[in-house]
This record gives sequence, structure tokens and C-alpha cells, in this order.
Amino acid sequence: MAWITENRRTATVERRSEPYLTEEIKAGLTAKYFPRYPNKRAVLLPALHEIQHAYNWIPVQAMEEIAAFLEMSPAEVLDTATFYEEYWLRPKGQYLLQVCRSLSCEICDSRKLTDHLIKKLKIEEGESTADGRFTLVELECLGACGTAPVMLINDVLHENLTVETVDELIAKLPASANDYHDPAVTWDEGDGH
Amino acid sequence: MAFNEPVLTKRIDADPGKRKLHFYDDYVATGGYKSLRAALDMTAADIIKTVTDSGLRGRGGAGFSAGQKRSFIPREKKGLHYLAVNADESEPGTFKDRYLMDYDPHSLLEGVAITALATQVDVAYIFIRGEFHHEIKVTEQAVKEAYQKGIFGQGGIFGSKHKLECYVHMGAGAYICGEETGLLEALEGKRGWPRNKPPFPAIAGAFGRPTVINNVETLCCVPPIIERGPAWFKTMGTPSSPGPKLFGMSGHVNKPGVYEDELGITLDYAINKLSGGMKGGKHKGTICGGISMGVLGPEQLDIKLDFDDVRFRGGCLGLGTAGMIVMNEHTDMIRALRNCVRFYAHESCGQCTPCREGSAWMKKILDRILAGEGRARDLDMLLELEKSQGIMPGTTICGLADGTAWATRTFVNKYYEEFAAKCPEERPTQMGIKRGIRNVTTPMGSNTR
Amino acid sequence: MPKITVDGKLIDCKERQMVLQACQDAGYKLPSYCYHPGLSIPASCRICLVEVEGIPKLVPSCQTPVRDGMVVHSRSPKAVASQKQVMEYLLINHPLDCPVCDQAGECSLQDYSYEYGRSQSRFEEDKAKKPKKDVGDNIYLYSDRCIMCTRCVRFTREVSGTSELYVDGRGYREEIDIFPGKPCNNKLAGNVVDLCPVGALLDKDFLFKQRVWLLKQTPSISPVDSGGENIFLEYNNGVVYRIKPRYNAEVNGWWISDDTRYSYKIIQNEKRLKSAFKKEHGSLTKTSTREAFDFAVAQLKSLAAQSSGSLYAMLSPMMACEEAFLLGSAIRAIDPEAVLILGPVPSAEEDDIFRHSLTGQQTFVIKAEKVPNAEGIRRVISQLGGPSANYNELISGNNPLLKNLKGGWIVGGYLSNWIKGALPAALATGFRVVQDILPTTLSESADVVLPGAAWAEKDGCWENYAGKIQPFAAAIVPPEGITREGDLYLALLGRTGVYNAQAIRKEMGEPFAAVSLPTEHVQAPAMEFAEL
Repeated sequence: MAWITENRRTATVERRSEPYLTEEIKAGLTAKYFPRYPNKRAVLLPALHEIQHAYNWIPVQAMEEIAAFLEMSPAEVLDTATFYEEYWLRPKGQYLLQVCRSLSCEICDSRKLTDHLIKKLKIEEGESTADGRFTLVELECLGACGTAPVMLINDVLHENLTVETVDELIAKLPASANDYHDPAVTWDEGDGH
Repeated sequence: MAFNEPVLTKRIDADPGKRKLHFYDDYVATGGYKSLRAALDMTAADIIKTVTDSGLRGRGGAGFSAGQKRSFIPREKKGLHYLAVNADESEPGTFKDRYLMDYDPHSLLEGVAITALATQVDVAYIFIRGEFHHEIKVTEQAVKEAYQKGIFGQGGIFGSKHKLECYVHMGAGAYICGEETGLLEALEGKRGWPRNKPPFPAIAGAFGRPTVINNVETLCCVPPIIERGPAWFKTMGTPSSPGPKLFGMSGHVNKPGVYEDELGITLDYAINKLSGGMKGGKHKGTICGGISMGVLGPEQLDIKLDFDDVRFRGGCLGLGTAGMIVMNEHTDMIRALRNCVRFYAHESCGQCTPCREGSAWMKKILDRILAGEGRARDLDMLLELEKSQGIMPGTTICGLADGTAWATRTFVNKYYEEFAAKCPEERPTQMGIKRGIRNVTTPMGSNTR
Repeated sequence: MPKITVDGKLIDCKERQMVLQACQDAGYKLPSYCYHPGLSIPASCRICLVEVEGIPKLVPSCQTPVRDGMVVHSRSPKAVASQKQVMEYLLINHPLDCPVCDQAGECSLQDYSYEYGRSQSRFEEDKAKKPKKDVGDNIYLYSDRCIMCTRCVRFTREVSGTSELYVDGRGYREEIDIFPGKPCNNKLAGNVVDLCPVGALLDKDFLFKQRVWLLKQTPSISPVDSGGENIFLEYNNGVVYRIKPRYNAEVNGWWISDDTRYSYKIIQNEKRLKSAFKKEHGSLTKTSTREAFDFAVAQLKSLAAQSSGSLYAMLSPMMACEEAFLLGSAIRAIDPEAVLILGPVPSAEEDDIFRHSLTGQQTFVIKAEKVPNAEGIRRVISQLGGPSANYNELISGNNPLLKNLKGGWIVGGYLSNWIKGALPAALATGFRVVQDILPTTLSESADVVLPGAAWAEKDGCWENYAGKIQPFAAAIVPPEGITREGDLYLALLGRTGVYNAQAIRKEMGEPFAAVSLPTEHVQAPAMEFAEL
């Protein structure tokens, strides 16, 4: 309804009483990232990543809190957050299936994977399943063209995929995404400095 | 000129099954950090001279002299200097930096440390694209080790007076952050809108301070150059494009993957010798260096893959990242071009009018052609629009739009007949209305709400 | 000083100036959208690309510094082709709704379209559809008309420092927006509407009120505070429709406050006094200005005859200096010992200071003193000499001069009710002639009420806080029944002829004599249409 004026002026934001940017997250950001950059503003990308990591998406309220924390205007946080595709400003499923659609993958039939997943999960590209388990998106080049077609499931890259291996992968996903890790990371991921 | 041994990939086994991630101990055991120790005994000017003498050209796409880039950093230091490592590898067809970070992260860190010595850098940021989750973890671990081993940190590089901090900065999904000033904006927490130049980053880069920005592969070339000298480096490659190069082979080849060889090998060699020949049919075209460089046609297998031949004889923008997407005879070139243009329409940062509007327009035209509604003048339109975009004609701030332009230019011209078949001359129908033209009877803008 | 040649014309430039700005200063227009001299230079719209001899590429003139001897071509085939192409790009998704667009007539898109555009679009795909948004108490954003020049966003970051506006998304999908529920309501917000080169940002107050080509401009000064912001009154058929900023490097730069922008509303205030009254049998009765005036003069004269020093004139800081001078002189002609009182000078607690959101540099100040001419009235009172006082003394009653006052001429003219609380004792008694534009408890209890003219209806000058005396001109005539103050005071002085601010300033001597209206000013939209 393009002729209707969107009321942004008095639009209300869904809120909860406890903050998203908890004291713990703040302390973590302060300790790890503040020393890295000459100003607070530069911590915005890490802060958004941190929130997304904690809540699986970035609620509007959280961006307001980040703005206050980094001493900038909430609109500037949105300015940055909406520019980058990796930030989810709406909730997404527990498992984010990202199928690469760029040229190498396309000529290696990545579209078949997407079409298969659309049928299998009964959702369109860009949508989430009703149970909140999966979200399916296509995205531009994942930088793994030599093993096309590829798909990211959360943090883990899967290469040389076929419809069959995709089915297998999905069947093997643990019940909780918290138990799903990159099998190649065998070292302790603590922060060293 | 000959390529006798792997240089950048000397720690990476050719057999994918035997490849192994080299952390600090393995790295040092295989000769790692020798160059850094050697560099500590050199003056900054000497390091720069050595790199300049080697003729090393940037491996990130533009092919600018790496030594010269370093020499732009002010000698007289008035505040912090930064180094930004460009690991925002997002150009379709390119996956070489991922490969280096996956298996040999310390060679990058050694290159970082040597470059920092040469340009008096205080802080290095390794900007890795957000989708490279694994590579971020690997690099962070390597950085952590380097801190523990006294390379980074306030103790000074191996106890010397040169102090260097090094951090991994995670991108968040925007191709434009691979453009060096877009990267700097992202580093500063802003949207990755490329900056106007001048001032160049070497004078006012990250946080307004002098900044060197280098690609991962470029930095990985630095330790071997320091170790074995510029003369050795120049035994590989061509006089104007010396050195080894990682070639990313993907698409319709039997053995896709990253291969190291010298600059100046032919496309034929790359396809048939390196990556096991064509798969599924005859060669039709190869994107030669990431999609922004354009496509080499079926008859161009003799083109030498270096920074000049691809450009002057190949009719493409350049070698770019040497990420080859090989396409066989069954590939629909219109679909392939649509994929490229869609990429640019999707990734355009939206700052400059020609790129923002032009790429989206061209995508819509290609969508329509693919939907069977093409007509002859669409091709003229595409070729006209393509000319108005890019840093080469000067109509945009950065080079993203050149990608749209060169992809379109080379695809349409080299496969004109294929395109023309989908874009027939308009012919009157019974109604007297020309085929495929939807708004011909209504004036401009009537299809707005 | 470097000299450059642009399209064959020799142009004198300042050091380090950009080509576009040098051309603008020399009166040679190059097309531009995103460039604004008061903001940072993104060089992103690309309409201003020109050819420079010796550089193979086109360069953006807005961010190419001049070099002595530089030869620039803005009308060469290559440059014009680029300008045309950019125009085409900007128009492909721009709706053709000029007939209902407020910006039509002063729209850069229209102007350049006329010069560089095509009569027919070659864009046959579907246009992108973007919503209309309510983004501020006074501002609408019609996103589909937006060309993403980002002037508005830069303004909120670099001038108002409030950063309410931002760019949402990227590429062809991007739009200007606000954080939900955090509207663009800063005190300078209206400037983003002026900045918008197209009809994307619209002033709710002006929306659909008037076609801009019917408007005429008169240079004026802001009446809302002592800053003395330079403005244009834009009016048609005797009605002021809007106020636009007038560039003055020393005072307000390119900007004005929203208080200034909407101050014209006082002119159209429904409650405005439009006829004279005089007290008869204890109540105010409507009468003609002439009769009320004669009555007032007779009364004042008889009071003065009884004892010297019994009259006063309360000079309002809303009055023009010329008017204050005439009234002061007139009251002294009746009673040489009459006291001149400076009226109330309302003030907010402190100045509103605006800063660049990143650098912290001060960019704009809204003065705390909420009247335009306190300085000027002080200067006039001191030039006239003799007994004087101010409003605070009138309230406190501390000044012995004020003990014997029997009657006076009180001028208001404030933009809102200026009598706060009960009437001060000194104003509650005696014979009082009140001249004001809005009714107050004072005018209700006065003996004679004379309706005043608003600043847009008369000529004069005001002195701002920094001592800068700035003239303003009448844009419209006062409503029927109102005689301009200047003419009344001339009559009070017994002089003939009509009030002429420039002539009065000559009489007043320096520094007023040197003040004159700017002879040249930026004209309203270039095209002239006959009024229908």
C-alpha cells in the first residue's frame, strides 16, 4: 500500500524490560574490543556481532542500547546495521541455511539445492520454517568456488554438495544449534590477549 | 622463467586429503619466521627497496606495485600508522586467500610483521569477511600464538623496539568492504561506503592516519622475498608480472581448486595442466580474475595469465585475483551475465548514481531477456549503460561498477550471437503493438503508483 | 590567486577551492545535487562531472581542487553525455508526479531534466516503489522521489549534530529513514527540507499550500531571537506562506531555526488585534485608529502639561530601531523629561548550541534572548539620552524616576503573550496607550489600544546580540484597520509624509545611517509566470 504514509515518527518498538546488552556483554566488549580501536564507534561491528551471537538476531531495542553504550545516535547504528547483510534485524531460525548463488555455484547447479530445500522445508527463499528451526537464504559468493556448490549452515561451510548430501547434512543436525560446531576447529577458542 | 617449487603453498599439500593446518610450531619447523628475524636487522628503507625490487604487484585485483604502495607512507612519523589486511575475499571466483588462511595463517602474520617494520605500523587489523567463520577462528588462534611467542604485543617483535599490535576484525557481509576505503569505513564502524581519493589511505586512512592496505596473498609473498631476495622472485613470472601466483580454478573443470604457478602461464595450461581439463564439454569461456574482470572467449586459450596480457590481448579489465571460472559449451551466457550483473546490483553500495541505478537497471533488462521478452535494442542499451559506469570513465568513486561494465562489455561482445538470438528485432503484431514493449502507449512514468 | 578557465571563461578562485564552488562564486552554474557548501563533500551524485584537460577521466568538479591554469570543460560532449546519463539514471525510478509535488518549480531534478533530460524514458521496466514516511513533526519523506544525495543525513550529523536521519540498506534498495519512534524534531530540522534538491523531504506546514512559482521573496530578519538570522519571506497575494533561510556567512550561514521558520504564523494569528479601541464609560469600545490616536495624544499632552516627567514610553525589543527612535522623540516632544523604558526582554536559560556530531565543532547557535532587537533599543535609548529605565525596575519599583509616572505609550508586539502573571503595578494605573499585535491583560485594561503591524508588514532594522544592525523590508501590507507604527509616530511628532526607514536611519546618524537593504539577493525560482 504505497500510498499510505508509514508512521515512523511515533512508531513503537517492541520492548522487554531487561536489556539485551547485558552488563556481561558490555564488560566483554569493553575488555576485548575497546583497547583495539582509537574510538568507541569502531566497536560497532563487533558489538552487533556479539548481540547476534547471543540472541541469534539483533532486536531494535538492542541497537538502541548499543547506541547508548558506544555514545552514538541509534539511527547511526541502524545506518551501519542495515548496510551489512550478515546482521539479522528480524528473527531467524535456529539453523540458517545459506546457499551460495554466485557464478561458480550457479553453473555447478546451486539452484537445484535451493529448489530442493524450498520443497523440502516448504518455505520460500528468505523465509523461516514455522517451528523456527530453519531459515533459508541465497547469498552472494561465499569464496569457496573451487568446491561449488557450497552452503553455510550457521558457522560451518559445506562443500561439493548434491541434493543427497544436503539431505544427509540436514538429517544429522543436532537438536540444538548450540551443539553444532565446526568439526575442523580442534583447539580451544579462548581469547589470547 | 620457470616455476620449480611451490612458494606460497609450500606448506600445503597438493593432495587435499593430506593437507594440514600449520600453527606456530609447524610453521617454525618448516622455516617460518626466519624472514621476520632477518627483516629486524634491515632498515625500513631496505625492506621497502627489497619489495620494490622484486616487482611484487598487489594480488588483490588491481596489480599495483606493492613496494611503491609502502613508499607512500610518510617516513616521518607523527602518530599511529596502521596496516589493514584485506581478507574480505568476496569476488566470485576467488578463494585463494581462504586457502592460505586455512592452512598457513602464520605466513600471513609474518608478512604483516615485516610490512609493519617497513612502514612503522603500530596496529594491524586483519579484516576477514564475516562468512569466513573457520578462517576467522584459525587466524585468531594464530594471532593468539603470535602474541604468546613474542611477535605481537608491547614486548616488541621478538624483543626488539618495534611494537606491533594485531587484531582480527570481522566483516559482516558486504562485498564493497573489499574496496580498500570501504574496508576502512567498516573498520571504523560505519557503512562501507568507499571514500573519495585523494586523500589516499597512505596519507589519511584508518581513523585518519597513514594506513597500508594489502591483500592476504600479497603479504604472504613478502616473507619469501625477504628470505630469498628479489632476484630469485623474478625468476618466476614475466618481467612485468614477476613471481608466483595462486590460480583459483572453478566451474567446469575436472579438478577445481587453488593451484600455484608462476604468472604468465597460458589459460590453456591452467585449464588442462593445472585443473585436469574441461568437464562436460568444450571450453566456451573463462572468467579470468573474478567476475569483475570480464570473460575470455572460446578462442582465447593462448592468453597469458599475467597482469598485462589478459588486459591488452585478452580484452578484459585485467588479471584481477586470478580466480578463474571456466564454463563449458553448455553454459547459458545470458544467464551467466545475469548472475554477474545481479551480483553487482546486489552489492552496489548505493553511493554513486551510475552504479546504484545502472546496475539495477541492467539486471532488470537481463531478467526480461531471460524471461523471453528481449529485443534487439536491449543489447545496445546494455552496451550504452555499461560505458557510463566505473572508475575508469570516472563516473564512480570506486571500481565496483567497472565490474558491471567489464562483465557486460565482454559477455555481450564475445557472445553477441547468443545474446542476439534471445533479442530479436521487433516486429509488428496483429494489434500493431510491438512485441515485448509494455509501456509503448503510455508516457514516461505512468507505471508509478 | 589561481585562475581557471571553465568553458572558455576565466574564473578567479581562492586557494584550495573546489572547481564547482569557484564556478558558483563566479556566478557560473554547474549542475549539482549532493554538493552543498555547508556540508561535507561526498561526490556521489556524479552530476557535476567535468572534463579537465590533462586528466583522462571525468572528475567531480565538487571535489576537484582548483589549480592555476586549469582548463575545465563542463559543456564538452563527454561531460554533457555523462550529465545526461546521470539524469537518466536519477529519473528511472523517480515518479512523474510533478503536478502534485511541492518542489515543482524549484526542483533541481526538473531544472536539469529540462537541460539534460530526454523527453521520453528508455526505462521500460517496473519502477522501484518506496513508501512515504512521516519522519518528524514537521517533515514528510516521500522516499520514491529521493535521489539519495544524502544532504539531509549529513546535515543532521554535521550541523544539528543530532543524527536522526540515516541511510537504510544499500544499493538500489536504500532509503533515508529514522530510527523508529525517534523523529527528526531537532530545532533545526526544517533545514533538511530546504536542503532536499528534490521533493522527497516536505514541510508539512507548506504541503499543498501554494505553487512555488507564484511566490515572491522579500529579504527579512528572524523575529524570534537576538541571533538575527537572515531570511526570505515568501508570499503571494498578501499572504506569507513560508520562510526560507537567506545565506549570511557572518550570522546564520545557510540555516535557520524552526522557530524562525514558522514565526510567520503570528501574522495570521486569529486573535490578532485588528482595530483600535478607546475606553469610554469604563469599557473599551471599538473605534477608528484616527479617533483613538487623537484621544491618546490629547490625554498625554494634558498630563504632560500638569507636570514634567510624568510621561513614559515603553519601547519594545520587537520594535524596529527607527520606530523606537520616532516614538522616543515624539514622547520627548510632548514631555521633555519623559522616561524611556526598555520593555521586557524574555530569555531562555541558555543558548542552544549545535555541534558537529563527530568533531564537536560548533555549527549553529540559537540565542537564549527571545527578542530580536534588545540591543538596538538600548542603543536608541542611549542615543536619545535623558531619563531611562528598564522593565525590571518597573516591576521592582526601585527607580525613583518611575514614581511620578501618570501616563505612557506602551508598545508590545511580542510573538506570544508577554505579560506573565499579574500586571506590574506601574502598568496597572495611569493613562495607558497600548500598541500591540495580540491582546493581553494589559491591552484589556488599557485606555487606548492601537493595533500594531507585524515585522513582515513594515520596514526597519534590528541589531542582533553581536551588534550587527540588519535591515528588513515589508513583504505584505498589514490587515485592514492597522496603521503601521512608523506612520503613527510621524503623526505623533506632527510631521507629514510617510514613514521611510532609510530616511529615518539617515536622521538617526551612525551607525544606523550606513545600514541599507541588500540590493542584490538570490531571486526566487528563475522562471516567471504570470499570476493566474
